[in-house]
Amino acid sequence: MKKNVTLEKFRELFETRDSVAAEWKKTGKKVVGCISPYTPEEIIYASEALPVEVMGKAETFSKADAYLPSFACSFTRGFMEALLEEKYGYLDLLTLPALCDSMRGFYGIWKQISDKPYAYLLHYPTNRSEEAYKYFASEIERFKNFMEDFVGKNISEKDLKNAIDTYNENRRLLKKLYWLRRKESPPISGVEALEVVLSSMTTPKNLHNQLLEKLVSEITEREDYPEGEARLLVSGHIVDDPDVLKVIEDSGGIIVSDDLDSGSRYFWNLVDHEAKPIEGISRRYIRIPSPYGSPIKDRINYLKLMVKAFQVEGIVFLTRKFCEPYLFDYVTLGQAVKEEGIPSLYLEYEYPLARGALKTRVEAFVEMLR
Amino acid sequence: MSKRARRSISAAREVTSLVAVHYMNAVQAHNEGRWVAWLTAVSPPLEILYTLGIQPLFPENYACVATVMKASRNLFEVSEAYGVSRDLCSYTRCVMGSVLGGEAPFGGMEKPDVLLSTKNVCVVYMKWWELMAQTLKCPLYVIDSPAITDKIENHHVKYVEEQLRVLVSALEKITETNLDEEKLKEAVRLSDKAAELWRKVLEQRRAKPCPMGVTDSSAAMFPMVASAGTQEAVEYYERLLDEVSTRVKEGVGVLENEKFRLLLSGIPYWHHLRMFNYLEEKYGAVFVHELYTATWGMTSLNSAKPFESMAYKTLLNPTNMPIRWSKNWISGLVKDFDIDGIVLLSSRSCKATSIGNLTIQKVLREEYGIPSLILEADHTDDRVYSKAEATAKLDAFMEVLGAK
Repeated sequence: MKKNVTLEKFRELFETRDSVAAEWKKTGKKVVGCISPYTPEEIIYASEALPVEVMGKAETFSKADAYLPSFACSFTRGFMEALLEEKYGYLDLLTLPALCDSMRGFYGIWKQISDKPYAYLLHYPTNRSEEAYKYFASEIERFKNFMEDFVGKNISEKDLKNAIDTYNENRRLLKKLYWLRRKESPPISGVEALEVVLSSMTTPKNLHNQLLEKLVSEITEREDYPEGEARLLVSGHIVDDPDVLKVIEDSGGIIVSDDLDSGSRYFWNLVDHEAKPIEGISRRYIRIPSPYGSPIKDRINYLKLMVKAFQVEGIVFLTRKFCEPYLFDYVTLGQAVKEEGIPSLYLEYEYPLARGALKTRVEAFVEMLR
Repeated sequence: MSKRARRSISAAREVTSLVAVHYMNAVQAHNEGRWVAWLTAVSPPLEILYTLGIQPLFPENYACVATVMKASRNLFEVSEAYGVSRDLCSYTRCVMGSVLGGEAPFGGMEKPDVLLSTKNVCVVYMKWWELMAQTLKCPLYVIDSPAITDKIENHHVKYVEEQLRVLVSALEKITETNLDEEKLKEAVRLSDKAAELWRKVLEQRRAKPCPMGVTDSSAAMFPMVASAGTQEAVEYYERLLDEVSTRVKEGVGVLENEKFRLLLSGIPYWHHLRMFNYLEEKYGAVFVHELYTATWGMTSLNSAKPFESMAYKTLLNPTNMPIRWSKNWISGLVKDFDIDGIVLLSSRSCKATSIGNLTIQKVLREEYGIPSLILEADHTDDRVYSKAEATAKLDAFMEVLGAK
């Protein structure tokens, strides 16, 4: 199969993300670790720092085991291991949204053992009420003030507007790319789409926008369509290794859409350009359908919408070991899609991937869909 | 072998019947046409419910009772068959088992008309309550309590306070009752009084020998959990304080010959409460304080400012506070209660109370030279629990503390 050069570039950007960040630092600017899509990156971008998604992939936890028990989620354990192995030496700051007990616990532990990088806990509201939205806006305002002090730069309304426009542009382009996957023969695979989104989370947005623009104009004419047998949607949190989706696509499915933190949830909704910046940002981030605060019906509706729009034949629920919010939601989501007559498969995974076992299960699922 | 001076505090023995009455009160409430709410511990505030005539029930307490009665295994299985992962909170699995129709003590809890939750202890609270709301088709209200990273600030209190007022309006509407502010103030005053008495009871345990052990203390906290804000709770703690302080005056302790004074962190393993007797009898080691039981007496409430006080109480929860705060708290207790060692009970299905234990242990050892032991099991699920292994670890720890 002929490779698309621009697509290759996204993969490369993602795989070399550490050097991208290190290069950025050479200009004297700061790098800020984020947990996406719940960290309002526009604030960081407006402060002229580079927001980068942190990943939680590790196969052993020899250093992390001194601080985190084996039943902490495997994302936080993996991330702790990476931090202790100084793989994130370039981070000046780590912003952690208080999403779940593992993240809250992780923050507390890190505060106790190190201030490099300095950790900042951002409240993420449980409710979608007017009070919650207002408090979240004030929390973002506090974060903005903190960033101004941390970076030593005043963040003006113009800076914020510019950040919002740049981010919205990225979101529009990503959405355009995703829409192409509605075609009978989707022009990109799930692995490729994931690489595009993951690279957006680690690359300066203006650069990413340029590349995306190019990709979206090329891809419509691409002829070497990958072939898939069953149209699948993956649902879950952040997939930080494209290999996870590769196992699925190697087993006879093609992923045409998703409900992932490192997928559509990262960019589906825009910030209202007309609103006051902080208000607009607050409203946008609070509406992400997630297990961290949305009513579960929002997640069900989002899933149903995606399934319809992308003509999905089956859903694969992906969960990292010990991830409580997603384990809870699966109880309800699994039943909801069943009631809708949408077949689904539940896969729990850890690194190193148990490829053989995962493959067998996906193959059986795809077989059933035929 | 150390001989136990007295079997237990009589006020603590009363609790068995208080628990039964508590569950019957919910049935009675429905008979009287009143509402029943299931709520998370400490907050949303009981004071509001008692003022509105809504009867509270505590799923966590129910899970604990079911486990002590050795009736939780079957409930776990019912939940797990329904799709609730074995890696999720065992309190949740226990209660969901009864919600789903598993064979449960007292035939299950009286069904709720409303579900009230927060996340001041854990985020799991909110997920658990949402799952129950889905299953029971019951309205749910959640108080969003921000985790404290440094100290409780005005914006935290204002936010929770605002939500409590919204909650009251919602409850007023659905129960068609108006909240009487004066009655609320009185409930807050009574709640504050009970908390103060409870703190005094716990303070008595600084005495040597210690007048009350962990088994009694874990039982005697029940009225704080279920009845704070009522006159009955105040009277209960007056009786308890009287009994415990009499013991102190008379020099009566849990043990005749107290050799070691321990501090407990974490939720007791409800399926193995004998663990405490074992330490008492074999080593003369008595738990003189627990972080768990102390949680219900953390805050002074100002009845002149009921909403602000209840908001503050919601926020000032040990698992909602930073590790630095816990460190200061624990090291203070070690000094005040002359503690020899700490036992931290981790629960694999309770991250909120367990995830920081390795770090706390390290800090206590390095900064204060305090020895501690971490056990890792589950607070309610005993299916993978090894009594022999836990006992061996306790034996080794007692040896470190100098027991022969």
